[in-house]
Amino acid sequence: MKFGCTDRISKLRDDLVSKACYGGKYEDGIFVDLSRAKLYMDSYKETEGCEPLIRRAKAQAHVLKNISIAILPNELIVGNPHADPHALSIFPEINCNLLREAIADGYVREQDREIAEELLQYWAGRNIADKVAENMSDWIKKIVSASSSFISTTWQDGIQHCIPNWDYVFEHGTSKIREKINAKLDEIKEQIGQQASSKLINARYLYEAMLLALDGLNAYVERFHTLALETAQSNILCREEMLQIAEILKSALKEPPKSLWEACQGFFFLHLIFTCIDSAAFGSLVRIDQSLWPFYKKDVIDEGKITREQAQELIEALMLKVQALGAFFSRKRRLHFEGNGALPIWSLGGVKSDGTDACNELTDLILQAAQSVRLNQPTISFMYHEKMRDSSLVEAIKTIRTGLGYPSFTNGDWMVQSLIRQGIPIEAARNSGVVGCVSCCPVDSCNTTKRLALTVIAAKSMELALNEGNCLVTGEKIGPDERPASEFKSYEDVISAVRKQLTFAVKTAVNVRNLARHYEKIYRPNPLVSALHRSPLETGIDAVTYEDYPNNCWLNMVGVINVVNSLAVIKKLAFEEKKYTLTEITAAIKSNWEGKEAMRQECINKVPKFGNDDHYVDEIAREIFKMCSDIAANTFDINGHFWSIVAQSVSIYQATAGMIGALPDGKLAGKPVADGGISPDHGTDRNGIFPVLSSVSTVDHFRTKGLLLNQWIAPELLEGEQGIAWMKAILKMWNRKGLSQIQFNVVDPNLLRDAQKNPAKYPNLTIRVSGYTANWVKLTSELQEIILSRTLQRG
Amino acid sequence: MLLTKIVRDSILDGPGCRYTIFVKGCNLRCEWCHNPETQLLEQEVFTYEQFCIQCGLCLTAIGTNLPQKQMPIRIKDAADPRYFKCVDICPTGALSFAGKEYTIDWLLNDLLKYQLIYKQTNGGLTISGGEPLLSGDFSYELCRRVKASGIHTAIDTSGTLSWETVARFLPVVDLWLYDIKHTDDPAVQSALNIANFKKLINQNTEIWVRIPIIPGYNDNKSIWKEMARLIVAAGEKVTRIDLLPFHPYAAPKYTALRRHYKFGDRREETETIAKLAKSVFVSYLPKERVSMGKTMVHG
Repeated sequence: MKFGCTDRISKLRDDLVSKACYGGKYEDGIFVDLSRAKLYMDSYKETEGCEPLIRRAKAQAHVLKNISIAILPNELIVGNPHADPHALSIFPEINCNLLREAIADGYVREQDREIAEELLQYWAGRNIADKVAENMSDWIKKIVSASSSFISTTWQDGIQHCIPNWDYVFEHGTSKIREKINAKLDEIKEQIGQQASSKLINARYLYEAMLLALDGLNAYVERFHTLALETAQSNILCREEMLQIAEILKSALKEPPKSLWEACQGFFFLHLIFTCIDSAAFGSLVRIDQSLWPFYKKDVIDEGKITREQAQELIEALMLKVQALGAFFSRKRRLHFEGNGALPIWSLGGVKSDGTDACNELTDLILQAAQSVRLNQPTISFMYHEKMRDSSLVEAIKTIRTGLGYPSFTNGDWMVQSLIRQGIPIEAARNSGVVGCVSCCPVDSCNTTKRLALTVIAAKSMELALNEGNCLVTGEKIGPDERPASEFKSYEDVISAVRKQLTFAVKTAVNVRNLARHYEKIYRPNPLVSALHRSPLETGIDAVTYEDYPNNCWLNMVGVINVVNSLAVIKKLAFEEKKYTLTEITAAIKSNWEGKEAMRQECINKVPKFGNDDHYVDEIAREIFKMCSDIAANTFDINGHFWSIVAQSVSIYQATAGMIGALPDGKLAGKPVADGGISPDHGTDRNGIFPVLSSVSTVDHFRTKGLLLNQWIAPELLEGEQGIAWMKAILKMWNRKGLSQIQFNVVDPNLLRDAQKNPAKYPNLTIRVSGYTANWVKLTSELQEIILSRTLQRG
Repeated sequence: MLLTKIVRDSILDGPGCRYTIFVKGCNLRCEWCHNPETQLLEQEVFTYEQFCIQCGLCLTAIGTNLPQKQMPIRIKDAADPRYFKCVDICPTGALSFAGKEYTIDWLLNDLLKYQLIYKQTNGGLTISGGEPLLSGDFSYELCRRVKASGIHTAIDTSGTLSWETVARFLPVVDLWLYDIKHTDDPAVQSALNIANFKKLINQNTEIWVRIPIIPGYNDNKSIWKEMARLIVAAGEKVTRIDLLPFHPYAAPKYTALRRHYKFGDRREETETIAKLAKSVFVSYLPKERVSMGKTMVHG
């Protein structure tokens, strides 16, 4: 099968070096390159005693001026984190532990060991993780830093979400931005001369730091320009093309882009710097069909300088460059984000700040490019709303049909209301996009730079509540004291115990994040990002500190549905039917259901499960999600803003399987919790997608930052005009019900193979023929093989 | 009414998205029937041995004290009501009822929850089975009330009951999924089936003809030609012909109902025959009106 709209794209795709992890490992040949970390450290050694902002800017610039660069064959868009495409960056200044892991896991080359030691020595006590740890008790340290922890925060992974405002950069170009900074600097120096204040002095350092950082950025682009010219000289075969690229690089980022090509190149440079060179930000916000639209419109529609096909080639080239990126992740994160390199996400569609439909020709073209080049990244979130134009929606549905697994759909109408609840003005709420998987944030703000993300495995709180705060896997105490389950007198007592454990986990996680946030402001300000935003220039406050809107804080709750289903079991069997005592249920999960298979089956099959439009358990879901939102809303970030929950399991639910004990819903120890965020647990939705939507709509999505819903569908359902109409109707109902997010995975041979091996996971998979339907698990293996062979044929 | 299944998002049982229900009870006993659990009007029990964990709870339910290893094989007659309490107690679903009782009110309410989708896709209700006409009052009343709510109705029938029974549905059914299995077989009441078809095409209604293609039963060009001529005579009334090739996926249901199933995997044979059948039908009818049934796997 050929991928890509042109031969060039196919070739580039063949040469792609994947940075994805499978089973917690990078592919062969991938290694951690310490050159960036070394340059960064060298600069910090030189600047001891300087202002933190200045030190940071000089280090940013030093890296950009000296890091190895390359232009690879066939490239239209250039830029790599390192000359060697197999190299990954690492950020010991944020967390030295990652470097230790990289060494232990064999990703640091023998010749770099000495540098690694030097880095560890220099950053010990200086890196943010160490500074945070100084403030924690040994017990808390153990809870949050153990690899089996059910709490994780992004800073531990050396990630800081810092991205520029693309539209601001494209509108002005760095030359103009420079002028503005210089003017501000002159102004402020004069003011300081007359009436000095801390605020003014800090602003002066910031402006100076911004200029230093911009020097680095300009030098970086200039180096590529020179390299292109040199390559044109030395290589006659690609001279013409290299000269063209050199022309693009001559003014890239310095001036507002003159073409779509230049805009794509500028976009990529900044994306590269902020996801791989200066930090490992990922899942960052970009409304790419808005940011690139003026240049597409000018080149393709107004002036006809390039054809639609040429524009598509550029977009595909850009996607390939984005796909190739990756940074070194912690062991935990490698497992949590299986199959992903840097997790970039592009937001498409949605509305403009005036509320009108934002879809345009480029929206459709990007979706077509995704279908053509078929990469797993950048993933796409399509912001659906009531007024959206038909052709874009149709293209989004066609993209799902290809089995790519994206776009996911974000409910734009929900998004606006949810952001308004968080205190964001309506215009900004409309001009928002998706960060990470489901969370939404305004585009025109520094907030995206301060994405405060935490993950708490909520399912663990059920286990701890029934076991006096003790972990069933390790036997250690990791939660607050609780009386034995045998003393719980009512269902409400159980809920209170769950609330107590969950509240503790959330407060602990938030506190750790707040500590990190304090140190990030001081030791990881971001003069380069500050220079590429409007607000820091106007206010004199660094982008990491400045807040134009309430913070983008989110608390990711994993496995909430297991808590819901477990509570249904306890409510029905222990307190209503009194079939088992709570002591018996607790004993059963403590022994991992040893000798209690009939009881376990009863808990699975004889108690309603979430996802079947069954009021009994859906009501519990509503209550528990409200509890989660309430706990979050009573937890505050360092500036006093409340947190909101999201639910997005990514592959965390698989990675954490080993650290969660058995649960009353019938889950066995070591088995994963529910995937998605609000998806029914594996195979427990037995009545198809519509009742799932009904169940999911009982939960209040407006008090969350997004709840992820995964659904498997047969590709045949999307075939032809009828399939498009079917999906449109489903999306319309989903939108009307006020659900936040949904994504569709097309049933493929891999899933069917897995279903053959693990039938218990898929009781809801059905075989359909006109007038006939049956469960996959009820077919003999011979019949399953018949269907598999058909599916493979289609594949 | 006992239903064996509700499929809320079907695209295989009529136009658009369908709310398809399968009623229990049929007047025919076709050997290839892929829904054997819909044949008897009475409740029955499926026994899926592969899900049995030998817990023996079903034995305690009927007060038998047999060695556990013999379960659930001891239940010889799955339809015997004496064993129904075993089903209630079975924790794994190894024993399960083939049908579940539903009221018209409940079904109407459930369908209307998703009416936006049925309306948007020009879909609606399909009563399949079993034979919906056999449960005439139930099917009639459900169709009447669904149609009164402005939603399209379809009925999947063999049309082998009296013309009066069929005709009663004319005011409440928008589309007939009308089975023609054979042209000359008393076992499927061909004479009545064809006579009613000829009457139906003179009514103001829409028809999709559905033809199972069964190896060794109706795989005969002259039968197909005769069917095709019948359909041609119906003119514009028949808007679509679905050829439904035999498939083997019903076998586990027969085993679970303790019944014998004489068809094995006849895939290759079926594929050849189905292609041949299609070539015959398209020589009489416009190509776009003849479609071939498909198999899909849904999550």
